Amino acid sequence: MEDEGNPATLVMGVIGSDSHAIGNRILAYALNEAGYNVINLGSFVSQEEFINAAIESSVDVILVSSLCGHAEIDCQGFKNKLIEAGLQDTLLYIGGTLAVGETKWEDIEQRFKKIGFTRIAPPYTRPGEVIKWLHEDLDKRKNTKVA
Amino acid sequence: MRIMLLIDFGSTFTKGVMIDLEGEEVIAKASVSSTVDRDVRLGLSELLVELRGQTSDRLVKNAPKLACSSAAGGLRMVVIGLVPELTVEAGRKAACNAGAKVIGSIAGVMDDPALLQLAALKPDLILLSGGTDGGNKEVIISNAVLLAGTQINVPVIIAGNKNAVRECRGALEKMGKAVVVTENVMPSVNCLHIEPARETIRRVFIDRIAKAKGINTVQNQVALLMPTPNAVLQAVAILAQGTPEEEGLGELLVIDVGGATTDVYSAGAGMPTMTNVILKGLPEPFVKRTVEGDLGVRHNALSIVELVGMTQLLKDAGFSSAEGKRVMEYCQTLPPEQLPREAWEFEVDSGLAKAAVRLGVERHVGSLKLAYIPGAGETFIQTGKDLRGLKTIIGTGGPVIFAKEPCAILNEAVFDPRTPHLLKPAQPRFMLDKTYILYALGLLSGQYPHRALHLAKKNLQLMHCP
Repeated sequence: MEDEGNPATLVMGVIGSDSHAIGNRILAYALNEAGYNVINLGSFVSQEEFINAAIESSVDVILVSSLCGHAEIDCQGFKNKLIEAGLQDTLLYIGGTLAVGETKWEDIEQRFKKIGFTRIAPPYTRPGEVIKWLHEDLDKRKNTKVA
Repeated sequence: MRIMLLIDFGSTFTKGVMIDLEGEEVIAKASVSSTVDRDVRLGLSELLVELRGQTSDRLVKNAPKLACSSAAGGLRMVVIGLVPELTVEAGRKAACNAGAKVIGSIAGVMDDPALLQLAALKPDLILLSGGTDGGNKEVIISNAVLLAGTQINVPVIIAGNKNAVRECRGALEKMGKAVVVTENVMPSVNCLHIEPARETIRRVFIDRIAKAKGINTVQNQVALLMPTPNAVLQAVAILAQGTPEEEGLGELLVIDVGGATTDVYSAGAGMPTMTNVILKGLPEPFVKRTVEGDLGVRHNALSIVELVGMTQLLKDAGFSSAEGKRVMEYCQTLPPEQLPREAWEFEVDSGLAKAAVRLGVERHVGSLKLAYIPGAGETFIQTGKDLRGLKTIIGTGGPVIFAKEPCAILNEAVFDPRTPHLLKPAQPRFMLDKTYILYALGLLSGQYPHRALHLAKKNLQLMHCP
């Protein structure tokens, strides 16, 4: 976990049978530039791969990307597995084209909150926005730890 | 003449080969029964007598002697790590390439049953990994503390999260355990870094384990350098990659079928060969060894029967189903050192060897899994090495070398269209290590890589298969 002065460690990747890799690389670049320790698993990443990487590297945040529209199926049971793996405190973000068709964003957001994601980024979210969330969430965490 | 004597202390046989370095020729070769259970020196003296008979007292006396050993059970290791697919697997790969037999692996914090199991396995050496550098420290430290509290008194190599090394070492040394620290086998997620651990395992084997096994009593006569599979791995590397002055044979596969195990070595990158393939999993080392502890034509003949089924074994041996009972009896009663005598026995052995080669290579090579991607269609996910393009397969080990039809046995290592997901070599040529010289060339390759390469090219026999 994040020690005093050490940058937070993030693991990111595109979940499931999804080969969209460009957004993933742009985001990885931006997060690296922002000073985070980034483990990018690339595309085609299973839940287990996210979890394994998070265990070995004591990761603070898992950032899941999905563009194929199947994110809800790909993420089923993800939070529960994290709890099983002792990673219940790891922050879980998701972003991308999270559903196909005409679904309202509020509905989509609700569904992913239910799965256990704390930040859900709609299409066209800028990397800067994600970095802002990370600052807020990690700061909050540090303060609660001290308290 | 500059003569070198290369020796392999095996479990069953102690083998020696004398090489004339300048002429690049094998000038003498002998094999005697091993005497490791009594005194390893007895077998050595007997071997030297044999070789003196073939050459001269002076030549044998003056020849520098290098040796490797797989005697006294070889190097039995347990690997402890965190996640099975990551640090445990990286640790296993390091141990395998160092020539060890991984007799157990443990993932995560050890519980009481795991500790009991570990003690019962009686390993020669423990590799303790876990956590990437800067990553998880808690698990490896807990495991070090637990290990420190046991009666297990074998050396522990720490090859985990560098930020946890000091605490691990402290805990173990406080309880009097022998500790050697090396670099992390997986410094970051999916980054395999096994060379330092491999070299450390080799050194600990020579410095401590050979002593514990009584093999080091020969040290004033010969220089024991490494476990035998490690020597073969060195030979494989130089044979494939060549030297700065001379090209090697290119990517290749070596299959060593023995009485107890089947070892498979590959020298090859194994990267995807098609555009619609995505590579997953821990990267593979260019030179990789796997050892199958359940595939051997003597100690593990029954285990092969169990794995492939009697029907398949009879098919492999070219028998009718009427022979089932007789084959079963043969497998059950065969003494480990017994070589086949009658034609019938050669056929059973060849059936067993075929199964061992097929399964051993299937477990060594990578595989493809089909996935449908919305928008992109059929895509394959590859784990492990794609060795379909590899051009040379070399067979070694008694059951292959002395078989009536080595081609038929090695053919089991070839890509099979009925199991297209298994990435075995598609159109390889076959070579035979007829003189059983690979280990010797591995020993030689440290000092004389060029000579070793020449000797390999000279002594490996190209097979003309039907």
